[in-house]
Amino acid sequence: MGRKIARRDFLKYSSLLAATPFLDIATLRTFKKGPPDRVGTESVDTVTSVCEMCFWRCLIVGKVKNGRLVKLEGNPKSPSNGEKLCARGNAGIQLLYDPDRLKYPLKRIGKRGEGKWARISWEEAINTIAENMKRVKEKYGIQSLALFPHNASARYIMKFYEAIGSESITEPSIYQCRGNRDIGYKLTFGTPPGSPERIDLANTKLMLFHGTHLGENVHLSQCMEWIRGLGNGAKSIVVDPRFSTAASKADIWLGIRPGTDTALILAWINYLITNNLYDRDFVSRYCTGFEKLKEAVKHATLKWAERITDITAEKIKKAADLMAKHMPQVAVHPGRHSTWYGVGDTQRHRAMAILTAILGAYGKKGTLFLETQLPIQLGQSPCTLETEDEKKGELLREKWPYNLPGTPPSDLIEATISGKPYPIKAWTLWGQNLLETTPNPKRTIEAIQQLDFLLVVDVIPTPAALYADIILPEQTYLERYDVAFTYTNTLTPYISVRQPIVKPLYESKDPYWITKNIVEKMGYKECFPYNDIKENIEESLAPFGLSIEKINATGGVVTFPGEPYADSSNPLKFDTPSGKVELYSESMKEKGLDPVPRFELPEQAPKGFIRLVYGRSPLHTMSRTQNNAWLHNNAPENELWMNDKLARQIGVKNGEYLELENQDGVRSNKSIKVKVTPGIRPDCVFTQALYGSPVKMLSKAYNSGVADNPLFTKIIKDPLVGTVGMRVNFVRFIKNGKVLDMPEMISLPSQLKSAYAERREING
Amino acid sequence: MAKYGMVFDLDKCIGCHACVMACRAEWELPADKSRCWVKPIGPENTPYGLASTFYIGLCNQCEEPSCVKECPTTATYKADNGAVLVNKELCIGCGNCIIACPYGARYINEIDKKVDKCTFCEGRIQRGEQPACVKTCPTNARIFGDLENKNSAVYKKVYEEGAVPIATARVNLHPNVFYLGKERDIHLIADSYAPAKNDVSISNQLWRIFSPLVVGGASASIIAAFIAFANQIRKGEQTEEDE
Amino acid sequence: MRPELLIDQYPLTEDEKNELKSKKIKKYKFSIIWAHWLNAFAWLVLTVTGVAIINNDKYNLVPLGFTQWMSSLFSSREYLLKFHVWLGIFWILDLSLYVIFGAKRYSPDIKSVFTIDTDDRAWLVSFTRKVMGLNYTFPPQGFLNAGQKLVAMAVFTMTPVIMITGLIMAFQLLPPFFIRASILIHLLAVGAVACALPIHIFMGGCKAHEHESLKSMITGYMSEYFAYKHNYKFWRDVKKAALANKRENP
Repeated sequence: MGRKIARRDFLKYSSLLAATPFLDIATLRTFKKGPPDRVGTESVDTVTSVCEMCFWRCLIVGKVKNGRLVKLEGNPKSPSNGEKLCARGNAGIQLLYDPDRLKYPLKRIGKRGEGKWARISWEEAINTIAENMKRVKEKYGIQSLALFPHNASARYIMKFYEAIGSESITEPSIYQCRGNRDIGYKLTFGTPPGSPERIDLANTKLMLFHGTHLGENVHLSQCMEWIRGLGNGAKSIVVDPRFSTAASKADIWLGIRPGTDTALILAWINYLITNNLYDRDFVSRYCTGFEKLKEAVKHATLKWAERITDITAEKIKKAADLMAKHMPQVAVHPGRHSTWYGVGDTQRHRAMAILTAILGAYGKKGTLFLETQLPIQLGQSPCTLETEDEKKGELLREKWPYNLPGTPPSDLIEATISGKPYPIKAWTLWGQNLLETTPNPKRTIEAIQQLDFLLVVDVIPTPAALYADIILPEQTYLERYDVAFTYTNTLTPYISVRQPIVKPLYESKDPYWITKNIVEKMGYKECFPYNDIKENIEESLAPFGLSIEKINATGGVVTFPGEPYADSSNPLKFDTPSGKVELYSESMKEKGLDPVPRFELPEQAPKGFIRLVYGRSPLHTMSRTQNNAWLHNNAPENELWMNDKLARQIGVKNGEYLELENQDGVRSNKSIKVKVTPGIRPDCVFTQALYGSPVKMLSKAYNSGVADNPLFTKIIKDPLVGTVGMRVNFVRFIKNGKVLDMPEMISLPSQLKSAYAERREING
Repeated sequence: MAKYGMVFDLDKCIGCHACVMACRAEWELPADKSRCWVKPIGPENTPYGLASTFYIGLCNQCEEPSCVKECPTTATYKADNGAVLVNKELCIGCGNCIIACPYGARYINEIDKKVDKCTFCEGRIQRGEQPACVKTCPTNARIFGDLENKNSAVYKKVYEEGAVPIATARVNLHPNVFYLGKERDIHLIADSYAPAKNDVSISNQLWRIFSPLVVGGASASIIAAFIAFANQIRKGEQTEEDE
Repeated sequence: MRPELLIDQYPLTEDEKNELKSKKIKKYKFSIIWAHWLNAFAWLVLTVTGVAIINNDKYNLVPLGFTQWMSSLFSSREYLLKFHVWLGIFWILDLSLYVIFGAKRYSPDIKSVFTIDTDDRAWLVSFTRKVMGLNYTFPPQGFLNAGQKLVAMAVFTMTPVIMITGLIMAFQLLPPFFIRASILIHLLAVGAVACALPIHIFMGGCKAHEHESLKSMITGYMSEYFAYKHNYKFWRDVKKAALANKRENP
């Protein structure tokens, strides 16, 4: 009996024990909640700012935890990118915390290019710079001070150069990018298409991407609008020798023979005109020179274009019919990077502008829209200096019929080497990776060796920094104030301001401070009157009743009503000599240029070589992000796209590595991985640009991938503006030390061939 | 309780990798790891024409997850909201689940040495936010929501627009992640990344052989001791003299 | 006491029996007793919690009801695992003190554990015969009999293996492949000991005439008579040493 009770007791106690766990202490149970929550729940400060991982300037929100930036997100208040951000924007944190950043002012102690430096104080750095610049200026004159600026941070030094009257300013970012396009559109519509391009992709019915690989270049808000547009049922036509991301989403992909784009556009123009498929209303009301245009493109038949472009006449017609069907809601993307073949680059974009015009695709919903003039203009603080009354004499840029701001970089480099027409002895590279982005870096190094003084201001060491006399560490966009930015090339215009999200790291300084100190040391005390950059911004905002605080109070952005479409209150105006859209340009004729674009065959591959074309990786911004740990890890090196038939013929397999050698015998820094695909024509190979940095201090980017820029040794300049075409270089493949025979996969039509040979003979 | 799922609209994905980076930031992951991925495929010829697309993915949060079956400590489990989660307190980093996952959705996080994977942003979704990758996706190629809610976007994409999971007849763990896109793009992904196998690690296979032996041996030993004890009691207490 | 008792294990007279029964001999030092019981406790609890950690119907070692009961006993599975790990660490720390401070002192004893002599072999044969119900005579045994030696051997060799693999799993000391291997090795090592332990517990604690043995592991002392009968060589050596001591220091 007693035993039974005992047993029952035991059961009772054990179940009690199970039901009331002896370790159930509420405070210790926190970890039962599941996976830890990193960025979200803990106390996080948010700061709005403007991204600078590329030039698109999306609005961002930085999340800061214990003084450390943990996350970047799109600013939901932004009319353009909203809460969205691209890979690079998200990875901005890794630029800030890049261990390879420039941390202190450095002075060169080795030979130029050796990369030996000593850490110096800011005071010593500023003194040295000021002394040298002053000495060079006094000895060789104002024009001997050259500036290669890039990005917002360089605008103060640019103001100064402009104020003292130096014309030796060059922005490779314009001269190697959208320069030709801007001139081509300006000559036609009187205004460039802007940056961001004012192209209403979201609301259009048909998109034409001609020479823009949107998607691989992630211009964020534009990509968003493009995909939104497609989602709304818009059709798209993509012209590209390669089956790009854009092509994979397109209704019509036209795999064009490289360099024959103008022929295609002219054929479209001719087809639309001869078949009465153009916007007669727009042409008659706003355009001039229509009859002359009609006459000038008469020769451009579909058959003619088929021979040249290697696209069937049927396909060309199909695309044109699609344009006619959706006219005027056709978004003819103006393109962006436009220095392709030297010859004809500006004219190609003029042809695109003309096509846009005859489709009437301008100033309407779903087309190229208008820039809104803001009621306020955010002025820089003026830097008015009494410029030395020096005779400028012959300026380098004056030899070109049309000018972009400053001087073409290649001209400046050549002038530095030759000393003609005037000596150029001190360069300043401000955020500009000259050696990796400007063709023929060997020549650039030759020029650098001629210099008395080279100053590099940057965030991470660029190859040019290896040659610099003084290197200054600049703050990243996450640590500094910048000017207030106006966005007028968007449907909804707005203003935002870049402001520090975290405290500056190391000894980095903001560009205003650096510029002000150098300039004042040189003796120009009145150029930058404000104590700091913030004061400068506040002063520029004040007249309009705005302040940084007010912008922050409205979520980091102030919007204005946009006027993107023309109507009676916002009539179309064209800033051309005739005040109309110039389908035929009298002013060009006066300068001895083709008033209507004419197709010219660009440089062709020598026997045994193939054209190298290039583009972008969606993870990288030119040469700036290769050392970003996050981006690097997902796109560490570039690939060479090669046509499958070509690969089979030369015995190359997918994933194999090949060395490249260009037509001038320049070999690639290493071998490149081949991607064999039917998605590229057999008469060109493609790679993602600007990999393979030669700077050893960049632990990620150094020699990672193949650098394309050193292979660009041929300089062919656009006769209108002096920009240098970069797709006129040709390579052959080297496998295990042996040159592979390059078959001619698609031959040129005989007439073109003979015409080309003739021209080469004439031009030598 | 909701059953969360995700749909990828391949027509909208441009392969920009924003999702990968946002995930890395949100969860403070090692620089070379992410819980989601973007893998470019093509251009390649398919029966439906030339195609190129991106295999975007994350943990499929399968209905019948093979990983859960292989976890010795129940660290990995299927949560009520449909997500497959890893309880880091219980995880010993053995990686049996990594081998078991046919999608490669799991990896060892070097920071805590534990298995890490997509949680559909547990924490964010509890606060009513979208997962970090969905929030940042510029083109809205990622759609997240409740598969049991007939009004949700994911429900419509799956049950009305015909989004499909990446599974095969042989390996079908019934994913809760679906793909919507052109035939040729789906074809490319299925061709290159269809799940081939859900493996059982060698150590787990050996465990199945040895654990019965160990349990059997120990049990036999206990039984033998009991029998001896019983014998002893039956025979009555022996004194040392009896020996 | 007859001097020949120090030569061999002769049967005792009644007087001698009574004399030896009345005397105690010290068998275990406190440190050994502590180590034994700590080890015993650790083994018991670590085994029970350990098998409950494997909670997976494909790989479980014990019925899932038990594993769930265990985790609710510890309030959650996390606590169960934590408890297992921290008890293991306590166990490791305690035993490592013995290794650090006692390595020299105990090394002859450990050596003797790993030495199986002719008497041990004969004991094992006799033990087997006994279990099988055949005739047997036990040869004289030392400090530990051969059965105890086998258990000790298993414990001494498997303990470090269990500890190392346990640490590897608890703190992810090696890449996943080795963690997976550790799971398996941990199981096999525990299993090897677990097969021997029930017999050891029965022999040492349940067999009525061996209560002396259990008592000695608690008090440190056993009757000389018991020692004479079961650990003759140990008894003889103690007596011889006492005599020698007396001769040197009269």
